Amino acid sequence: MTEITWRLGSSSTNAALTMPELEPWELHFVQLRSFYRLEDDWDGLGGSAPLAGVVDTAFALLTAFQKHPDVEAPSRVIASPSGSVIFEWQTPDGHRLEAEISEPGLVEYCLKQLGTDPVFWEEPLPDRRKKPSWGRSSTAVTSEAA
Amino acid sequence: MGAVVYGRDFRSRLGRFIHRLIAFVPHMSEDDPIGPDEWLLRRVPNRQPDYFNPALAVPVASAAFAPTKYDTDGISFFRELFVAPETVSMSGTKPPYIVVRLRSSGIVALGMTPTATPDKAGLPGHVSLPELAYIPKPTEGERKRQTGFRLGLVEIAVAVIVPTAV
Repeated sequence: MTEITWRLGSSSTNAALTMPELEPWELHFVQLRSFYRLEDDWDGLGGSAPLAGVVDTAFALLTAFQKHPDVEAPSRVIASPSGSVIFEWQTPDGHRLEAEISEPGLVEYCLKQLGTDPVFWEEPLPDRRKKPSWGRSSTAVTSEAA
Repeated sequence: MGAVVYGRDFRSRLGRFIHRLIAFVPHMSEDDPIGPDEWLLRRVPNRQPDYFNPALAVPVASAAFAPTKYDTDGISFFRELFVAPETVSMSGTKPPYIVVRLRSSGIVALGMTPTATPDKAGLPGHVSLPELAYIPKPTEGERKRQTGFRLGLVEIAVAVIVPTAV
């Protein structure tokens, strides 16, 4: 069993350039709010806008993570062209954890290490009182401040 | 503007000429199979700041390879032998786009089959990736398979054009 130490919390450089005053969590909430305003074909390539229920779930998830002391801000927050919202945490050596919300109320997690097959699992929205159950996968994941 | 476009496309034509010399191919058309050494270009949305972050070890977001409802034959790439990255960046309805480049052999090594699908109405050198075709209601297995492909593609993608965020 491999143990990965996540060095999370670095927010997007581009985003930091555009909104330098904001902390990473704040920045991600601002980004999430902007997803409500997205319209179909927001990217000019036919991308679908996320449903409001999907963004609601993303808000609930981000809020739950923010309140948890062991979880750092995601490395990025994305509205995908297929209409889902994706949170990504990334380590300096390229290991990634994605939480994707494609439908309201359900979060799909995917852990991917460079050059290996990804590991998947699904969960309903996390209980705020409990630690995130990332350790359920075949790879134990812990969090550490960057 | 025309001269600039000519300059961009000239680079691709020169690349094609060199490729033909090396491969002993007298003529090359958009229908020809894609060589393992060819570079394929992909447009990445520039409307959200997190799609490309050079500070991260894997700078490109996997969502850059997610199909839209129009990608029924698979997501689109363009052969660099037929079109320049600058032209790809400035195409589409909301340019400029970020452009990333992937080696064809790298995509094949991930288990996918880049296929030449010329589109007379669009940019030259159009390529589809059928493994990442739009599926209206994907099964859990299909969704995981596509996510796995997307996460693999970002590991071999190299940004060649990063315009200022729109």
